[in-house]
Amino acid sequence: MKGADRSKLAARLAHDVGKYVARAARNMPPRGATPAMVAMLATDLYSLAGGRRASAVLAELAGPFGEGDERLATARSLLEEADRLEDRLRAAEPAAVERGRAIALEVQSLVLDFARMVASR
Amino acid sequence: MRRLLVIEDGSEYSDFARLYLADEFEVTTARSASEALRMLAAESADAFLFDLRFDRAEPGTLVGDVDATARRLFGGDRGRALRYLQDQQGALILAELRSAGHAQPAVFVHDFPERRLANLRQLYGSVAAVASFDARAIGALLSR
Repeated sequence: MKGADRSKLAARLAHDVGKYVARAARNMPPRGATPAMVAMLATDLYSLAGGRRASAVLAELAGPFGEGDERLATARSLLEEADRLEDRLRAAEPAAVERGRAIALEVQSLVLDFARMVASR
Repeated sequence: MRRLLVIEDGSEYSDFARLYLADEFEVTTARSASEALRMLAAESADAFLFDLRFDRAEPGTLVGDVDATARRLFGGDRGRALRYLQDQQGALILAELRSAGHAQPAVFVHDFPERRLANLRQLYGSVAAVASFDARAIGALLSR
């Protein structure tokens, strides 16, 4: 992949996943989230624009970068864990909501860090 | 209560603002430059919250001429020109609003490189950006 194509793809990854995955997580309290906050967290993790899971969007956009980057590998693994939490999170089980929130924040950090690294080269 | 005009091609920003900024702002939404200008003519806003990429918008609603952009920047490639206009649409709409005299603070949720943000400020005055949907930071920037 050419440098310009890498930069564009990384920018899209930062936008489509990095920006939206933590839209609720960034603002909700660690405990005592309202139903509306939990619903938005579920949307961010399981129904991004186009109705796709964050894990699927990440897999598509990160795929061309290969398996070598540890940040992207960790982000993939975390979003797979989030997928396994879906039923419990949607049911607003506190431990699942808290773990989903933490995953969203961590994935955002990893993806934005990766995109900045690509843009700086 | 102050009025916030959200300009986006989906509902993610509006949903966020209605959930996390509702104590500070009454939120309305426009999905194109022409709709924003029409709404502002009817009732002003105190601040703007912008999406940058409009890849879900109908091409006919975008600011910018695809054919002219293709000729000017992309050797006649209309597909690349359309993607360019979609990717920059928030900034292009901001330019339209500024041209029409709407100088309210504008905030993007986008991880702009510092040089790009400085350029936007030079062109369009009060422009700020945050990399994520941080309600506290966005609220503070909108209230400047």
